[in-house]
This record gives sequence, C-alpha cells and structure tokens, in this order.
Amino acid sequence: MLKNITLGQYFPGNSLIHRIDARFKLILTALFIAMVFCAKTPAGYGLIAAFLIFVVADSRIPPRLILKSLRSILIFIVFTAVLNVFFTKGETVLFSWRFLTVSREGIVFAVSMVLRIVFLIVGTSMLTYTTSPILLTDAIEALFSPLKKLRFPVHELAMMMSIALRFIPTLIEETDKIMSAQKSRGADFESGNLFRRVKSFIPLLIPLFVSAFRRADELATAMESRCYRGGDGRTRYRVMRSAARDWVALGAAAALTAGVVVLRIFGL
Amino acid sequence: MEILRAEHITHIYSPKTPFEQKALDDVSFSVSPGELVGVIGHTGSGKSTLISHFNGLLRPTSGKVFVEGEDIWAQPKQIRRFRFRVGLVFQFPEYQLFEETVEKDIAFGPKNMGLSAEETAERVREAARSVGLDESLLEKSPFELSGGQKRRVAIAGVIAMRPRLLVLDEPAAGLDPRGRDEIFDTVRAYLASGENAAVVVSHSMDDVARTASRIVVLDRGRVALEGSPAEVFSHRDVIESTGLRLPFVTRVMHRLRDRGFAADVSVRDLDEAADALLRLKGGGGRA
Repeated sequence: MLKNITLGQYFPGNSLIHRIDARFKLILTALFIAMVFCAKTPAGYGLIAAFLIFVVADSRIPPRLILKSLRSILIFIVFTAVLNVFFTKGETVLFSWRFLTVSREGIVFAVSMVLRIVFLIVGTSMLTYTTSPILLTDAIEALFSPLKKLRFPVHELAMMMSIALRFIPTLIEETDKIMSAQKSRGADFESGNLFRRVKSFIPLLIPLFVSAFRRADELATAMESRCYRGGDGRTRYRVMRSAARDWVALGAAAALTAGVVVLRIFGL
Repeated sequence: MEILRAEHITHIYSPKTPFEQKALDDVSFSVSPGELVGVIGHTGSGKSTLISHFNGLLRPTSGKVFVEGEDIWAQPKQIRRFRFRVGLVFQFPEYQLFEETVEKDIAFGPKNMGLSAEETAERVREAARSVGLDESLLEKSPFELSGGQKRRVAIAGVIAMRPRLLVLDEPAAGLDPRGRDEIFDTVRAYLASGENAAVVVSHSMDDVARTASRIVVLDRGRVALEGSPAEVFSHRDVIESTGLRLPFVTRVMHRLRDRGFAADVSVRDLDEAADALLRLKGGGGRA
C-alpha cells in the first residue's frame, strides 16, 4: 500500500538527458528556474514549453508519470489560478458581481502564474527523474566543495544526505512489514476518532524507531570497521568528468535563457 | 471441515503500471485440522504473498479465500475478525515488539479482540507457557531479552489470540539449532489438541522435512509440487529446477542411489537415515 509513494522518483534510462553530468544538470536546473522567472511574454513561455517538451520527449519518461506528479499539487494550482483571477486589479473589467471582479489583466496574470508553477514542477522533477539520488548528492558535494575552504562540512552533509536517501525505501518497506504484523494481531489503523487513530500508531512507530536506530548503529559500525573518517583525502569510485555534450547543453541553455530575456526586453 | 481453503488465487502487484507483477498465479491451497503444512519456495516464489491472503492482509486479484467455510471477503469491513482466527507470525517477528513489558505485548492481540482483563491475563500466561517463556520474564521489557526469547514473545503474542490456524513465516531464520528445535516443538504442541493446524513457510527443506505432514512447493507464483514429504522429495529434478535443495539426508540417499545402492530416499532425518543405512548394510545388497 505504501509502495505507491514515489519519492526521489528516479526513473532509470540512457537518454541524452540521463547521461548529462549531474553537476551540469544541477546548473541547468538553476538556469531553467531563472528562465521561467524571466519569461513574461507568450513567445517566452512558448520557448520554455518547447524546451521542456524536448527534454521530456528525449528522456522517454512516460508523460503519464509527469502528469501524476502535477496532480499532487493540483489544488495548489487551482487555488493560485482562482485567487489571481479574482483579486488582480485590472483596467479592462470583463465581469463583475458583488465583490468579485474579473479583469483581462487578472486572467493573463493567472494563466502566467499557472504556467510558471507547472514549468517549475515539471522542470525540476525532470532533474530527479533522470538523475539517481546518489549522483545528485555527489553533484551537490562537488558544486559546494569551494565552501570547504570556509570549514563548511560539505562532504559530511552530502554523506548524510545520501544515507538518508538510501534508507527511505528501506524504511518504507519496514513500515509496511510492521503494519502488516500489527494488523495480524488485530491492530486497527483506519477507524476511530483522531485521538484513537494517533494512539493506534504507537505499535507502528515504536518498532520503526527501534529498527531505525538499530540500522544506524549497524551502519556506523560497518563504516568504522572500514576506516571511514570523513572526506579528507578520500578518493571516489565514481569520478565525475564533464564531456563535450555537457558543455553543449550548458551553452544551449544559456542561449535559451538569453533568448527569453531578449523576448522580455522587446516585449514580444 | 477444512480450516482454510484458498481457491484459484491470483495476485497481481501494481496492476496496469510498468511495475506490474504477477506474484501468484492460480494457486489453490487448503489446510485441515491437525495438519502441519510446509510451504517452501525460493525467494520471490510468492510464499509471503500467499500467506498474506490467509488472514486478509492482501485481497486476491481473483480467487476466493474461505476460513472455516466463510468467504473472508464477503464483507470487507469485517475482515479484522479473521485475523484472530488465522494467526500470522511474520519473519523476524521480534522487530514488532513495542510494549513496556512482555506481558503487555503478548496481551496486544487478545485486547484487540475485546476480551475481558481476566481472560486476557489467562491467555497471556498460557501463551507464555506454551512457548517456554518463564513467568519471571513477563514483567521485563521485551527489549531486554535475548533474540530467541524475543521471538518466542512475538509468537506467544499470536498464539494468545488462540487462532485455529497458526501461520509462521521463516520462524527459524537466524536461530541456532536449539532455538529452531524449540520453535518447532512449540508448533507441534500447538497442534496436539488436533483441532488446530499450522502452516510453516521456509526456504530450508531440512526444517520442514522433519516436521511437516504435507509439503507445498511454490515456484514463480505457481504450485510446483504438493504431497507428503516423501512424495515431494522423490521429485528431485523438479525441486532442483526451482532452485531449492533437497534436505541434506535426502541428498545423501539420492547420491547413494546414483552410485547403485538401494538407498531409501524417503527418510526424513538423520536417525532414519542411519537406520536405513544399517539395514542396507545388514542386507548387504547392492541393487
């Protein structure tokens, strides 16, 4: 039942998007976010949409999956749209009833806000769809490594992140198992009032915490017995190397961002 | 009457997604009072999926499950009452303990049944005795106990519900030989009255060979073999093709037979094997 949760929703593949270096993908995502916020004109939005469609098509991620990730924030999108339609003050009033007024500007603004949200969600989830969590933390570590000079524990934070990510599926599986076991003893997680329901989760949470601590302890022992002592002088199994395609992708994205900015300046 | 009957169960995980997987494919299964059925199969053969249907944790994609003649999915809202009639003990059940004391933990099931305090207390004591837990342990925290003791507490927690059918998933995993024998002794004692039945899931043939009255071999979601241990173990080729190994003594006997001795391949444990070999030696007969 908990298996349907997609988190760190990596979708393995071998497309161009999949193969781009994770560090570049992170930068590209940042550029993409900037691009979305720069866009103001229909042509600008069109350009971004075309880019996004290209990325999605290339990655071979089923569009159904992407629509599913949008569905979870559907309420948020609708809320934004409704709020902007009714509460943006505009000059060309199209419709008015009591305190509700709908103006042309309001509709335009609502549409652009909705587009922005959709672009941001789809664009950033393309990063997590096509990059494995481990590569992603490696990339974050690499990009933030200059902070090491300021004694910022970049490696340790990245390690903590990858361990946390690694254990999400394990803990979900564990939760599922403990739930089944307690249900087999007649535990009821579904009925009763709020107080009873919260109380019914105790038989689930205590074993879950106990096992999380046990796993943490075992992992610490395993790491220590292999002489793990942090990032200093540590070499890597996966060495990140940039290829020509990474620079090309970066150049293309930069050009696209410039295009969006130009479109905005000229108001096209 | 059969305690449990599962008819043509098919179970598909995440249907209509790219992750669709048929875990069970038209499996029929029944257990009568007094039986100890061993379910064996390789990892991923559908053993755990199958037993999760017995008390309604999973609903079959198609097929029906009857407990003492009642279709358990006739009223889905009432499914909880079947959990008390078919007691499921999962793999590594010691990880599900949560109460402050052993006594309270064993009482979790009976309390969920809505039994009175006296009835609960009596069942707890009886269940603890039946798994060989000393009364002095009842007041302790379950987290202070040893691994084997914890497992017995968890099994007692299910036995205290007095299910007609006791289902154990890999009850001996990770225990030393003595701990393993104790668990199987508990199961046999549970069956002594003749009214109850048990299903033991394992991937180890040796465990079930000695105790089970009937064996079901699962392979990729289907029943590959079914019958008495002697019948099942005579199909060496089928068993080995499912990635399992025959019990150690059976393998020895098969090996002898391959070499031309008239060895009895239906022996169930070391003692029987020794007797059979002595007979063979006494008769002196090469086949």
